[in-house]
Amino acid sequence: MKGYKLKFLTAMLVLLVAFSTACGNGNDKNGSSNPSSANGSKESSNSGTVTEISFANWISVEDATKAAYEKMIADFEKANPNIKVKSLGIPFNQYKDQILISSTGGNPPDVMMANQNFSAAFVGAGIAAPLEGLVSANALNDIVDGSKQGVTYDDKIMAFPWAPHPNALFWNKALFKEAGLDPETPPATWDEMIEMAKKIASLKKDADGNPIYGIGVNNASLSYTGNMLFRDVLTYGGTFMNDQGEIIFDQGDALKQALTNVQDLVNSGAAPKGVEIKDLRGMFGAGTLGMHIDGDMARQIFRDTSGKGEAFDAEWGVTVIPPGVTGKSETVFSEHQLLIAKNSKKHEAAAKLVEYLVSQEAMITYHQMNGVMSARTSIAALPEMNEDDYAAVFNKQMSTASPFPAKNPVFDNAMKIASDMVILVTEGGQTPESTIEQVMPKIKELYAK
Amino acid sequence: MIRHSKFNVRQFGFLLFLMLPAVILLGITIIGPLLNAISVSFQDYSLLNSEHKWNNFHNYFDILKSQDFYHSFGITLTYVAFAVGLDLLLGLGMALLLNQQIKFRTFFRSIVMIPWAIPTIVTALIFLWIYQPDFGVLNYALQSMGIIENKITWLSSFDFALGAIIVVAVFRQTPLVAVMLLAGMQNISRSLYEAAKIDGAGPLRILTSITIPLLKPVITSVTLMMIVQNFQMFTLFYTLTGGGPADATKSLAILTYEVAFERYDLGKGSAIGVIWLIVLLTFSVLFTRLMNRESHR
Repeated sequence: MKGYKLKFLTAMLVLLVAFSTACGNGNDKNGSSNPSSANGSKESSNSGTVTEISFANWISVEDATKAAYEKMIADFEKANPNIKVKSLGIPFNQYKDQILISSTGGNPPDVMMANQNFSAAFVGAGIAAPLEGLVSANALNDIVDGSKQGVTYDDKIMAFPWAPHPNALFWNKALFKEAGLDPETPPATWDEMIEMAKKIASLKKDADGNPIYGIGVNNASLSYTGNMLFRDVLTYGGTFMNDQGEIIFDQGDALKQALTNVQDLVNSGAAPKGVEIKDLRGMFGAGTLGMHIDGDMARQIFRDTSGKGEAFDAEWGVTVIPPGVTGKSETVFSEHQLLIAKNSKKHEAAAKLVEYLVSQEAMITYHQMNGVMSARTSIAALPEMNEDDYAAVFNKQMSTASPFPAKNPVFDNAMKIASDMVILVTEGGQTPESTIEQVMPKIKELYAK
Repeated sequence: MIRHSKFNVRQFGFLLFLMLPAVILLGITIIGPLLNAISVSFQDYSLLNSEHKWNNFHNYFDILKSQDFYHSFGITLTYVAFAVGLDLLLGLGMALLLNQQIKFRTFFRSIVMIPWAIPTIVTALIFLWIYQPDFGVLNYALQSMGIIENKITWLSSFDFALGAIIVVAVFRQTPLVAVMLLAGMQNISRSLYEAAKIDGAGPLRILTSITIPLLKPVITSVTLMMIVQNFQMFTLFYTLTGGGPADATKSLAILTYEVAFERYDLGKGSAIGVIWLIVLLTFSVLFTRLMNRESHR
């Protein structure tokens, strides 16, 4: 009897210790890459209240943008000592899913970075708050018209455009020279660009035996590949959707020509196979890619990937995308945007962070460190934002850039399916016609649901 | 007698009480979510819509009519068959070798587990670089030896992508199989081998008539475990190919993820998971019965 009582009491004690340990370890010690740890609100027990807000983003985990991000946040916290920003850095490829899962699970970050594709998904999922009433009317009215349309859903502004990134054409001067082309003269037309790419690719290898390619074409299984295919279709005179919301991606010849072009470039060795944007950036930085289409943030990326820092700037040039059949420099702009979570309990502090990040001070910092542009009319016109040829090219490119038709949240998925077309014509060896016939029904089915 | 039965009831109650935390934990982490997933599979449950209506078996009908599901099921079966088959073959070979009196046997027995100890995601990232067409060591080695002339885009090729994933899976899982089979071999009495040798049995005869039959219980457990584990493999597929190129490696795990989190349809995603669960449970029961029946003959 006594032995039994002793065992029972020992068991109770063990259970009590186990439960209190388990409950005590409920706090997440590692805040980054885990949006579920978002809702920390620290209140200082000393004088003054410090509000901690969480900011989900991907730029804090990318080498090229990390320094600018940290400076902007440090400057914000200095100007707002009662607000602390907890960074939730999530790699780009997992970003949308992580935010959706954490938000629908009841743990949204207070402020979310997004691009056009992601914003549509977040607004569609009902996790974003309208910005009217949170962000000042001055700031909202200052948004460039083209960007404002893209962030307005049912007449409400659901995201603040932060940094538009039109895509322009970068070229490697050394490879141009080696291929017998004028290193200071980029292609003037789309067809000339293709010819130059093939000429550069005929160099085959560099001194270290690395393969040389003429131009970068995204052909990995990602929505970004589909986005770039959309850009090419614009060059050939097509588009994705008409004003009535009908999918017209496969109407006319534009899609077929775009796929034929991609197939020709890859099969002829002018473009590498099976690569995504980060591979192409690495190749351009390594000096093995003749031409590459990318956004304004690419300058800093190339400085990092080349290992040469600012000295690498002398080895390349940037120009607007050469016009194709439309006679106009057709390109797309992706755009970083900022959203405030509907279920955040710290709207005021979150709005302050958003207003700061799109303010003149922060945008000049971001521009100086990464060459980004502003989506605010008053800031985009500042001399500090137009100080060099690089900025001038991107400002010029922005004037002809088209936004992604991303208001429907399935657009990102549609672009991922569209990337299959690029893969089927390059890896699969299929004809563009059969590829379009095979894949387009899946895209139309997405929109039909 | 009365004192004895009271004591049993008390002991039983005490036993239940001690098991309670584990049962509660299991309930919270497995049974609860499982029941929730089954419930969601009968609903129109979209992440883009706050209204979730009950739709009976609509999700199941949609999935069972969809070509995507059968395509992914086929990919998964192919992957499991090859991965588990190679795991067992190579694992058995490794175990036989490590069971011999070789030099530095203890050292080899310890380092053989290293691939298993590396997290799956890390293994996947290492192989991403090995398979890289322009800078990866695999193409470099094969071209240097004259085995291939042109670079192969292993993970973007329709012909090689699934095979490339299988290789990584086998690399990672074979050590575990080898160690489990080796442990089983330690329990086989040496006298059986000695008797067989005296009777003139060669190595192959010893393997097929003594080693493998006596290892059958271990082989059954290991096979079942590897089949279930590989059926659920997500990390390798997601990291190496993402289900591409053009769905060529879209396994059931990737399809479920895509349906649930990229098409935002948690209802259908859950339904795929439930179908998958039923398939695996049925297989496990049949497989175990079959192996047990054979061993009772």
